[in-house]
Amino acid sequence: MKRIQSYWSHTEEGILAFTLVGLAFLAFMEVVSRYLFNHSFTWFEELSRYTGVFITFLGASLGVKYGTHFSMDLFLSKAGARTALFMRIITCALSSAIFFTIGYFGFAHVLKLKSFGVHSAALQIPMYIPYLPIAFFSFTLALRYMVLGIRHVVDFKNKRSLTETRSGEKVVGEGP
Amino acid sequence: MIAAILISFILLLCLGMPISILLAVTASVALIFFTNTPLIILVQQLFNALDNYVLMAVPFFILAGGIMGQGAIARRLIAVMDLAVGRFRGGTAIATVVACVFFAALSGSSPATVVAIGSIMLPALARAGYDERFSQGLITSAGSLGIVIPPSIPMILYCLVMNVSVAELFMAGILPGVLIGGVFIGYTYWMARKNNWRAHRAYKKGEKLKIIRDGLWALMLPVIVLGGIYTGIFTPTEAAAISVVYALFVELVIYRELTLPRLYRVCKDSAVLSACLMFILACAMTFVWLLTAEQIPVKVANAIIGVVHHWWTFLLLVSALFLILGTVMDDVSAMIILSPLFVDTLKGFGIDFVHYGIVMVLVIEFGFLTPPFGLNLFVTMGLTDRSLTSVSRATLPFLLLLLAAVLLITLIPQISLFLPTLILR
Repeated sequence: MKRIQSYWSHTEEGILAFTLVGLAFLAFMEVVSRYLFNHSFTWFEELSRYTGVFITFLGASLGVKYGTHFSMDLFLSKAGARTALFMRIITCALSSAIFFTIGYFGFAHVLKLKSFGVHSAALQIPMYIPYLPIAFFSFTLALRYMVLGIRHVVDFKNKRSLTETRSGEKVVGEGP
Repeated sequence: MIAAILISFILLLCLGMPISILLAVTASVALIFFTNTPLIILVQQLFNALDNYVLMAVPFFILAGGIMGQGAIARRLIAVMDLAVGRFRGGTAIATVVACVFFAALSGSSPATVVAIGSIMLPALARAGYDERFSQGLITSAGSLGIVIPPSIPMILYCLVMNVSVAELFMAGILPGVLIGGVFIGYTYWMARKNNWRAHRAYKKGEKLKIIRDGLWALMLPVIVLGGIYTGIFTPTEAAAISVVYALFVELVIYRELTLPRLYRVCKDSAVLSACLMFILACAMTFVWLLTAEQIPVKVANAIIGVVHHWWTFLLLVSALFLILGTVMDDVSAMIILSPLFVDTLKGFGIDFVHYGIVMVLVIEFGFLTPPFGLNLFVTMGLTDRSLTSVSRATLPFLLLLLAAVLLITLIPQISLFLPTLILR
């Protein structure tokens, strides 16, 4: 199970890194093509917007693993070890619940768009495709929070404190 | 409804829930209990918030900053600055500030500037006999210019939530950035005279030419990026993408010091960090959409204008609010969430959104330098192995200078609006 999880995470990381660098190169090519060959990639802006949705949801899901989601942990760090663990269980449960909900409605929206048969203006792809990352990665986000929550529950039962556990979202205020 | 939103927001914030997720939860709670709108709207709003071409400038600038922060570019840049101002009294320290200003024009990130310049200049300043505490304060504070001098990641985020032109806000950041940099240089020179810190090394024949030739690649980037935006050759997003390709070219082909495994790690870390920032933005804009639909910004405006009578009082109060918020949470997130709430208030007072954006960025800069969550302080702690208290004390004189500069820029809008008005309006 751990090997599958590790393989999955590495695949996600690779896709994320290469998508970002690849898109930067495409943007560069677009500018070069526009000025040197007087030819503009009309589909590029749309592709970059939809890729932005993809990168955000994939990266947000990976952010749970790395603990890069920004949070305010003033009270968490001041609370007793057991209380902190209990607080973390609540936030993991709520986070998991909200992302299962978003994932569910995301898929409902995808199915609705598929039935409408709408296509995007420039790329001419079915319009449900850009929405797929929201639906799919909301579920992976929900699953990651669920696993994290279960781990905290086990630690709580075994009377271990939060600092001894491998938990996510420890970074506070990290940003540009 | 306002009370329910406020209570659930504060409760979840105190529980330590990630800011992005608590915004989504709060919006869902409000939608379920206080409106008849189906929850599917959440999916549409999240998509609409991210379906924005300008937004892609954020991951590109973060990635470019990450690549350039690996050392080779920063080292060459410092060598050029040292050559330019190192012969003056306090030259090494002045070169540090100028290098921070230039690196800020490359990266758009404060912590990245502290890491890139600090890791090289802290040992160099110690070797040149500068006071350790002064050096720590200088690097921590000058590094914070990363977000004031364009390109700047918080500025792009502000433009997205407030619907302001990125080019205008970038241009508005130049004079305040130069002013703050100038104040730091003035203080450094005064300290150098007081403590008799002298100029340092002599250059061998041909060495100066080599330094300039090597540094030219780093110096060209701000010219390409900002020049490209202001001449209309490319958009801010394209400029950000070009800075990624340029940084990769310089690091991999010219300087050849960046290894592929390190590059992969930088790409991965930058992508995850950007995604988390963009995710906050998406959830915040969904949350703000709900507030706007309920006309809450108008109610906020009416309440504030009823009590506060001058535009400058409002700006000072908002700055104070953000400084307080900065002690418990990330100021960038606070700006993304709260700024749209003040849209009608700003219109009521006739405050220019570009000027307000600069004030917000300066307050965020201040937040980077104040404990307990000043990110630059943490970065310097990591570089020097000193305690938070020690680094905070070292930063205090610079913080007071910054406060004076921030007050000046807040109360004299022309400082930020002069260049955009002259060139772009």
